[in-house]
Amino acid sequence: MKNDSLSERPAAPRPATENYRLGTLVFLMAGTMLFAGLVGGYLVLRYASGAWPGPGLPHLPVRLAGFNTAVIALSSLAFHLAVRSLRGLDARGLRRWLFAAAGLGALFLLLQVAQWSLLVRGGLSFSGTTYGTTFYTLTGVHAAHAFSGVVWLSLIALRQRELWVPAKRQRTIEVCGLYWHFVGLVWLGLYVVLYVI
Amino acid sequence: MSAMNEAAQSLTRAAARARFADFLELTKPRVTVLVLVTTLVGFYLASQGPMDLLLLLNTLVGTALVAAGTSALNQYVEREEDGRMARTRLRPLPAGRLDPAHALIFASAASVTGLLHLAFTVNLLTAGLAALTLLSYVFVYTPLKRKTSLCTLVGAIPGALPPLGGWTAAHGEIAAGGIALFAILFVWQLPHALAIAILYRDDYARGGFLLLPIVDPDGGATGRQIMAHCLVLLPLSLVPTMLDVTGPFYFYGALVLGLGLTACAVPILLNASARAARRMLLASVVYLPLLLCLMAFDRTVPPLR
Repeated sequence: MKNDSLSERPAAPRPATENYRLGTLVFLMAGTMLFAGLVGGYLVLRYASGAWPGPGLPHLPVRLAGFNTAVIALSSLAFHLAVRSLRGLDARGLRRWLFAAAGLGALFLLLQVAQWSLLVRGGLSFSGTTYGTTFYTLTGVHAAHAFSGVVWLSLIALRQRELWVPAKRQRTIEVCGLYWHFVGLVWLGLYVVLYVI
Repeated sequence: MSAMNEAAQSLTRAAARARFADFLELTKPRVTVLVLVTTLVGFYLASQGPMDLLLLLNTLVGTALVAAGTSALNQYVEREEDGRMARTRLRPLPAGRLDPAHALIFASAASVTGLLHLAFTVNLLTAGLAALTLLSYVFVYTPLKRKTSLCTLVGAIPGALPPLGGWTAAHGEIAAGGIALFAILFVWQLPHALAIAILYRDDYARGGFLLLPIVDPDGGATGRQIMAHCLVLLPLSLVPTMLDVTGPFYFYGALVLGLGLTACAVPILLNASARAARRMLLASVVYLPLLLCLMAFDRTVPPLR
């Protein structure tokens, strides 16, 4: 029989973690490498050039970005509360906090767009200067990730209509949460690198 | 006597016309036209100032021959599977209207002629890209369809190479703008192909193809992938403006189009029904020509050097 060797094998040891969680972690590691590469490039270019920003170029709006950092941190917190509601079997609270997290995420994106238009009007274009290119690339790639996260959060919240949460959706929420906290953490890092130092 | 001759002549003429139609069908004319349109856009975007019309003509002739040859080779390789699928049963080879050996000779002749034409009248790089298109389509993608659902990712490579070929024909080398064009076409094909695969799910299963909707019967993974690819396409479609290949008008147009496409992916994510797939397919075939028109319309002409 073909299957004999298979059935005689001892039971496989329990995996250290579930496949979906492992897959998510691998995906987030890839994302970390993406941002690490971009930030590395940014630092090299920044410290290789003399004046930063160059003469005549606008300074970044540190306070607006600081406020936005608080917005995305609150969004992460809202997600944390959503997971707490899920653990407490409170499906209504789950939906409410998911919407809160998505709304704060959308606000974050709106403020990013406002910041870009402020800088564009201040004379900082995407191409032309290393200062502009690196800034828009880093914040743009991050905003693309945040946009996906907001769409994802909204869809989960919209689908949560019952007073219970199917097991499959619980896994989805866990994966989405890992992703959303990742997006928030990356922004924190970008804020420090781009605005503070 | 002359009446009989005339009747015989008109018969042979009708037969010749039918034979011509069969060979034409072997080249998948609609696919070939789409390939030429994307090649043209790549060529136009990479042209510094006005286009070199003779070079363009040579590029299009060579590309058309290779695309026709590739399609014909594909139909030759898949003639048995095509015979099992309702959508393709009446193609000339499975229907027995053409001799497979003739089709193979025709396909090879068209491909080789096209490649040589590109190599001699355009440049070696463009001919090499055309050869890569042919090889990856016929010898990698086609056999993979029966092995793994990841074939869609491989199949998107030959689909995205023609605009890059147009780019290299005009520009002589692969620049960032050409890569961006390739990337946009590559990602665009994934939701497009997956929507088609949902619509023809049963047919593809009969043909023995392991496309994602066939190995994922409830459509959950298919819906998620379609959405994910739309979300990747959205920022990617903005890159040409950042590279100064197109202007701000394109930027905002592409943003609106991308948001619309993403919105069309939502129903398919909630329920991968044939209706949602049809809407996604329609959205994807409206999206691409509009995007390409915007690119061509808002091309940034660099100062002549």
